[in-house]
Amino acid sequence: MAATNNYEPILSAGVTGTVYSGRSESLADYRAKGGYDGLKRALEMGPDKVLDLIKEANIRGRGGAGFPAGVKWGFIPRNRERPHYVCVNADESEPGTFSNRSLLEQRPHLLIEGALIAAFATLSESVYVYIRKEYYEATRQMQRAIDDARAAGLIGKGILGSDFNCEVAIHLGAGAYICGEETALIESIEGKRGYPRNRPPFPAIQGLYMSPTVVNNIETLAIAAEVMRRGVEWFKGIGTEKSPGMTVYSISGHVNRPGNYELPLGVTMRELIYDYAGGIRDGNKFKAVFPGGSSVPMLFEDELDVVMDFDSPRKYNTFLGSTGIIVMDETVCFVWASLNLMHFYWDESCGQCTPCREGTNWMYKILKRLEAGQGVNGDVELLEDICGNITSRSICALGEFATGSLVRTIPRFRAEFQAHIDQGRCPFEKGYMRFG
Amino acid sequence: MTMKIPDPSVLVTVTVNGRGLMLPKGKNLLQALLDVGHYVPHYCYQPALSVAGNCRLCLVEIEGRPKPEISCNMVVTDGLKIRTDSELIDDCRKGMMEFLLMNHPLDCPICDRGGECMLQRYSMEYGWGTARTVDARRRFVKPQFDPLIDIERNRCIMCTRCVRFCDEVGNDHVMGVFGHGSRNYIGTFGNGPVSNPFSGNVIDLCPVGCLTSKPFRFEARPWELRQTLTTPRHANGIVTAWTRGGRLLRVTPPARRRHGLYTIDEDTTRFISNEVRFGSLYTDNEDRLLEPLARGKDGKLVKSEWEPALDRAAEALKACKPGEACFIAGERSTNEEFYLLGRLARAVCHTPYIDWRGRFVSESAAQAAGVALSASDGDFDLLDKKAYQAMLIVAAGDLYESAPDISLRLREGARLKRTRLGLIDSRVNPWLGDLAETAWLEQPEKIAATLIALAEALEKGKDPANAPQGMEKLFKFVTAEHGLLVLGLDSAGGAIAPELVPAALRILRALGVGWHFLPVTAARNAKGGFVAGAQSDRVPTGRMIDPELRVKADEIYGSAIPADPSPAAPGLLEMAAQGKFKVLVLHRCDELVHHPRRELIEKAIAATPMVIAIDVFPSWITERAAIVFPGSMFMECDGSMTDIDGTLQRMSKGCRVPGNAQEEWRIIELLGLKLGDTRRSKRAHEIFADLARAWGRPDVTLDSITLKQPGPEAPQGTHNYFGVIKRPDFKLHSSERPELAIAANSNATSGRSDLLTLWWIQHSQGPDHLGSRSSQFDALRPRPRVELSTADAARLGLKNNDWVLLEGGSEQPSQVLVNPTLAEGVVYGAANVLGLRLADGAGLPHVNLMPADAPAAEILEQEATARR
Repeated sequence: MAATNNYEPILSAGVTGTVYSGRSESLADYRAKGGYDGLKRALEMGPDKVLDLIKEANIRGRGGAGFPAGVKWGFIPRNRERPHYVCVNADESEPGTFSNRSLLEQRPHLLIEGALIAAFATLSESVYVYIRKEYYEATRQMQRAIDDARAAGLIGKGILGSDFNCEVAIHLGAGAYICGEETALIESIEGKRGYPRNRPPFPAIQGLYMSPTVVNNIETLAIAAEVMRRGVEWFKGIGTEKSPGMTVYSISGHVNRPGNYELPLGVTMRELIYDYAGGIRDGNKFKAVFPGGSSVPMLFEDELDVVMDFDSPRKYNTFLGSTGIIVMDETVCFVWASLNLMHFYWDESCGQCTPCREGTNWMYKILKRLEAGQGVNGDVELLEDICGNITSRSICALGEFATGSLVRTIPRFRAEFQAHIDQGRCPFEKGYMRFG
Repeated sequence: MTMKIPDPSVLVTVTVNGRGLMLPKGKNLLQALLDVGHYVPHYCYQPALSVAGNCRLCLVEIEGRPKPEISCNMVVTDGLKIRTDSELIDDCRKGMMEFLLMNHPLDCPICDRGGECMLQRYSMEYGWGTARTVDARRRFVKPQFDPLIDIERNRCIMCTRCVRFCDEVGNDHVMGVFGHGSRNYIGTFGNGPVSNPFSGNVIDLCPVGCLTSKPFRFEARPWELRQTLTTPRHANGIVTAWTRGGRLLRVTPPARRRHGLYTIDEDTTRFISNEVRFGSLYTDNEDRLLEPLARGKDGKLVKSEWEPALDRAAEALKACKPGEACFIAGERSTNEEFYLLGRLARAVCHTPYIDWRGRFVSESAAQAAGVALSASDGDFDLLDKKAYQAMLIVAAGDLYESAPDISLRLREGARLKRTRLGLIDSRVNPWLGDLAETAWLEQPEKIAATLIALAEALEKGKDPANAPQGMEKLFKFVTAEHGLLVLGLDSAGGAIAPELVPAALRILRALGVGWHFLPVTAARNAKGGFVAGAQSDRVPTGRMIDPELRVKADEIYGSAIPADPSPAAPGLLEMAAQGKFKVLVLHRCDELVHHPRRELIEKAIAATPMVIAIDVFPSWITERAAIVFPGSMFMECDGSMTDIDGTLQRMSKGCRVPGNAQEEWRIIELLGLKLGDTRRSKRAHEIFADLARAWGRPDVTLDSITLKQPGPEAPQGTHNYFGVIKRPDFKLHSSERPELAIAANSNATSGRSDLLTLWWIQHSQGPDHLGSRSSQFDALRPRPRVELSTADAARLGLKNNDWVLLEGGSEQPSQVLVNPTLAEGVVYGAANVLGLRLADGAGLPHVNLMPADAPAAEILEQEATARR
């Protein structure tokens, strides 16, 4: 805890709570804090230098993959043969992730500034902000911020007296988890079914309306705005060498103080759970944790000292993901938890490609049987086999995500799964845990 | 924006399973592997459709990549190293097959696709032997949305071929995926029918038994069927006809041989229209003529034997002086029939009066069509194999309705991005228009003038500065170095052809040697009539009959022929109506049965003492004939047809001629024998040999006509779903659109303010002598409808679905459809659907639109039921 003890939140400065607090940063407030100075600086530097600066800062994408934003922007052709687009991914739907919501609701101008900088650097003149439909308040605040910014000459023609023109528009999702995947998001903006596309071509070459497109998570863009204002040196001073900067960890589950915690990358999982989130509830024993939303494999007791940056969790075959940390204590039945999540993935699979469509459906059926005590011998091995048949064979990553709760759990807790079959019922007390 | 097409002639080395293969660079990897015989299983990949990549069965292992990749979304690059036989790929395929079969019902014994099902095949080759699932299978309710296509959703594997086909080939966004996740299913929007004229192809494209043909449902198992590769009587192209016990059960695109058996080719690129697929099933119709008929002394038509009927016909012909007999050959006759009729008329009966062009409304139209056909290159594979820079389609957009099979071949080149498309028409069909780079909307009377204006500019040079005012884009389009000029001959019965054809020939000269010319008509064997000697002024080489060629023509027939000029079929009918002929022979004149100039034909028949008809179905014509000879159906006759692009097609016999009917060529020969001709053939092959000798190609025989038509080639590279549906940069060039004068203004003499030019076609799915006899055709029959431009509709105060009468054209009320891409002052409709009647064939008809009452509710209900 020592290294991060006195970290002052930057992105979530002034953000209170995880639920709408009624306070959204106004344009005046934001500018008083030096807001839009980064944009001003960018406009002075010119797009090529901005791109170099972002590349140098090595801002890794906060959407989950950790791909450097500068490199991504650099894939965009440096000509204007076709219009370029910037899509802001605010379709935060990952179970256990809720950090973007607070940012959207309370610091919309930070995101607009970041999006404008991205548009400027990628020679784009249109920004689509894709917000999930359920974030009603976030949409409202975002729209208000866009209107204010436009009135102040920060959006539209000739921004801040330069020759940079940019429009920002909100596009609401329609409730599909898959539309958080960048190509599905693009399809959704185009007005089609939210089906992820096959790659190649990559969005940087043929994205929205077959034009070069950058899709970034809002947190990435917020960081880009801060980097433009405060400089690369400041940014690199935070976090680890390979994963510089900060991120907002959403901690939920069986901890005493769930919530959003903005911290430098490099804090360990044990620190997050026990120091920041206040430890496990009711003095229970820790059982497992999803380190990056429900889509990544779990970490267990002996692995808690892993450093939570983009690279370290890979040694346990798991990922930082969307930094949504779900903590489970000893009362949790893994079959029940997997069933709960598998219901989600079964429901949210778009159904485009075979492995994900049929695989999630099959695993859901098997888990439902297991939990109801109707499992048969061989089911656990079958589940493992199905996971193997889905992984890396589907169009997008959703198929692989669906196996997140099983791939590392079954080998370690095979007995718990088998017990459901042997006893013909779930060996755990249910009490408050109901699934329906 | 045009897609960059890599040069397919560059071969690069790709290592497949450790073995080096030379594959064309830039080609779709899966297609390239299939082309060289390296089979990779696939469901969603279809060579003619965009890549969906959703079945995940064509995964291959690529050296240097961590994950297996789908080969359908990759292009061939130099030095690529892939494996298709590794354990990983084996496992992938097994896994996918297991997933696909998990919810698939085990109803193969009652599934129509059983025996030619890709799911059956792949599970034998790549699947597990056993099922590991104990859970209940997914079940859907079974809807009914199309009168001809049956859907069984439980069997669907969500390859979305049908959806992509309708979107891309049919340009008809009617099928879609509904629901999501494992509960998604295929359906149509609004649960309506799949309404494009090619919808039947989704049955073949479906790799499983989800979409099946209703007419064929539960009729037969595929292995009981006999396949005959043949060409239909009433439309262009080749098909496989599937028969059992001499009964035609289904018609599909050419089948393919697999494991020693012919099965449906679900990877076909040669799609056929519903007109062919369902319209060919007329062979079951019980109405057909099976006995010769002769008019008795009491004036009634009665059954007769062949001998007396032939004798009577021969007697009448013998009694004719030269020039007193007239022969009209139907446009659906085979080349052999055309040849024999020409010979019978010219060499045996010594009459110059023989022609096939009954479809056209006037003599001048028919003559113009003849000129156009003679100017065509007659080049094989004009449509499929050659890549043109540009294809200019003039007044032929209506082929979508009148001859969808030709229209589809015209469009495929543009859809697969091998050519650019330009249109000059009075009605821009969105089906073509959506792919067109430039579209010029013009009133029918002025299309020729547009061409001449372009030609005049081109004659000055291809410099853009020469472009006529307002036509810059069109001018730039036609300055392409090589291209194809497609000219529609029979819109409005050819009424504008007399001006259009010379204009087209002029622009063709101006365009230069790189441009080819393809006149198109919905007449099935137009080109055959032209080259096989059934055209009034042509001998069987397609050469003009003139004194210099007399000797040659005599050689072909072995006898002297009359040198008098003969009018075309419309002129012959006029002459007949004036009582000039003693005998009128109507050989399978299908096009006359629903002809808008019925009055003239009735007069011609009434004024001729002896009318001899050869036909397969009774019609008002056969009822008025003195002698009727029963002919043969589709599949009962050998012979050859010539497609509109000059491709020779073999028509094969697959069934016996029932009853007392005969193959037509035999009837004509028997008649010739009675008249003293010595020609007697055992098979149609001998007639074809004569024809081939006349063409100077004695090496070609009927059996050597290759029916292997590969169809359009699969496009280069991977073409993605989101790129193909619609070209974003197309719009109708309204800026180019000149001021359109309303017809009424230019037509001051008529004194009526709201006369509209009638632009009509014969609808392929409307009443037709053959097609509409198919039991399936009621479901396809279009509703009586006239189209109006937006401006005219506003001027006349009409809106969509209003009922109107075409005063001066038709007595049947029809519904208005407002078409924004129709020239002003034009009303568009299908003559055979509307029951159009024209008093004369002079120029374009003008009609007055009168508001009419909707037909009684029962009638509408009745029609709707038939369509369901």
